[in-house]
Amino acid sequence: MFDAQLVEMLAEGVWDTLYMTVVSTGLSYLLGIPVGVLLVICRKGGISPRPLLYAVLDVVVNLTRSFPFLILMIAVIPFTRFLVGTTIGNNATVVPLVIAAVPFVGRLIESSLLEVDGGVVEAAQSMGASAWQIITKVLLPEALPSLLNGSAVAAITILGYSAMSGAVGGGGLGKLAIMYGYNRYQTDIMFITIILLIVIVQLFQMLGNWATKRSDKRVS
Amino acid sequence: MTEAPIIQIRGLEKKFKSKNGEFYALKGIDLSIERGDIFGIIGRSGAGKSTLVRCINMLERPTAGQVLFEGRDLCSLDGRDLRLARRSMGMIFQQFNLLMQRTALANICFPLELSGTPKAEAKKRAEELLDLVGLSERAGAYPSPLSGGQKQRVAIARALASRPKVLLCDEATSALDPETTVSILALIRDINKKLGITAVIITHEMSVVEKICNRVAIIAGGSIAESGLVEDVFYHPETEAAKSLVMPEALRQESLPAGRVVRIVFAGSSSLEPLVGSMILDCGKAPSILYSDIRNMDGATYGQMVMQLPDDEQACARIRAFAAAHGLSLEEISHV
Ligand SMILES: Nc1ncnc2c1ncn2[C@@H]1O[C@H](COP(=O)(O)OP(=O)(O)O)[C@@H](O)[C@H]1O
Ligand SMILES: [Mg+2]
Repeated sequence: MFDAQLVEMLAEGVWDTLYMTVVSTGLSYLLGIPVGVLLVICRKGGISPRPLLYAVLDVVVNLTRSFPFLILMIAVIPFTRFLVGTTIGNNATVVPLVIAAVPFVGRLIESSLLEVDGGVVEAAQSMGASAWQIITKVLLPEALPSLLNGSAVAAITILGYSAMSGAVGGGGLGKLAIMYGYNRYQTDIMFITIILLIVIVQLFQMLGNWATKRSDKRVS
Repeated sequence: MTEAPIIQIRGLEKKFKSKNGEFYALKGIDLSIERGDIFGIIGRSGAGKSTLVRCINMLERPTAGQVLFEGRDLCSLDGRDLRLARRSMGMIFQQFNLLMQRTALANICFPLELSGTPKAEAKKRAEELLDLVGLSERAGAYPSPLSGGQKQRVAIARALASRPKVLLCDEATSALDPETTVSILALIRDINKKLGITAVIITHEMSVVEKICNRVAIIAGGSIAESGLVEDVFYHPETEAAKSLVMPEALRQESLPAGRVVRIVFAGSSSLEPLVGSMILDCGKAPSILYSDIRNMDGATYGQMVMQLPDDEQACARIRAFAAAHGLSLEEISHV
């Protein structure tokens, strides 16, 4: 059964999955970092409290996160078409993936930044640091190990969503699993795709653990 | 010499709002801290010490009153002006609050980065400061493996980087063992002497005040109970709050034995052994020592001793005369 055609198809599936996951994770962080930072600094007791902005952001994040991914994916089809001109393929799948992941990533970043000792922030304030300096020179660098750890969680979650997207026009390993396993009852091919997914998840996690450990200067 | 105080606090009040109403953490605080002072602020836990020191650099906004720093009311500043003013005041903390992801050297460079000092210049200054605090060989170490005393030295160097005029210390030695405490206090005193930096020392321990401060304010329940020269407050505490801080717990009136009990204060007398020894010889009869807490610092004696005098008027008179002749403060705390 391992003919060249199958191998090529699987390789393409792996590439598509990696492409969607990596691009979506990157874009989610680009948009999610500001969300997480705002959630931390605008809260009561934050370095720049803005209760109204915090409340709005908090609700929007919760609402978006409670949307089932498949429904969200269908709901944003017009927006996807507007952005990338089509609703199938890798780039089209990236759009709903990012929309679903930004609030999730925002929460991950929020919880990482909240781990930073308030005393250190206070020390920076006592030295005359501005809010921007506290964000870029204290909160983000001090939370780096936790942020890296969170990014593995985010990438793996996004990978899971991307596999799900195979049901409604997305590509990658998820599509192969559904196409062969569910539609054609070729369970052996389905198994191979699942094993490939497991290997990718494992790699992301290992990479995340390694980077976390390497960046953490608190343990000597 | 009537130079204006470097810090002047007038009618300071800090009110916290909570669900069960309002709570005054500070009320009607007036204090003047002179240039070059090592000013102690002492009080029990919850007295409002941290709130007070945090009001000095506006980490906490007072709800009323003024904090004049070199004549300028800090309460009226915000944004950039306040950040600039804060750079003239360094602060150190009980928990050190170092950046854990930066080396010792990079921690000291941090305030210089904030003010936009060129990298090479910042590094040079940081190296000088590490040398000043005696930690040059740990420049590349991250904070986590450093000992508490070393962490506080790095924190002190960091606080000095922006060449502040005032160093605010909030329980800076409370997490340290007694020996390390002595060395950190000695460092703060050196900095005060060499660099002329005014120090504000927040503590709950009288021994800290006694070792390095020249002036002290006693804070209780959010108000200043008493303030003045350390010798005055230490020899002659007037308020209950001051007495209970100065006198050890075991020596409250109710627990004292019947008879004449006196408290002798050593405030830097040059040598201890001959003094106590000769006092006993001189008096002819042995007093019994009820309490003694005496330490040697740089060859001088600090601390206090409480003794029950012999039941003999003449012997007592001799001891009094001896104390007076040797400049010791002797105060009768009970006489039944
Ligand atoms: N942010 C705050 N909100 C409400 N109450 C506070 C706050 N900070 C301090 N307090 C209260 O003010 C009092 C003084 O606190 P603090 O200045 O930390 O005391 P100290 O440093 O002398 O131990 C305490 O009763 C404390 O509970
Ligand atoms: Mg305190």
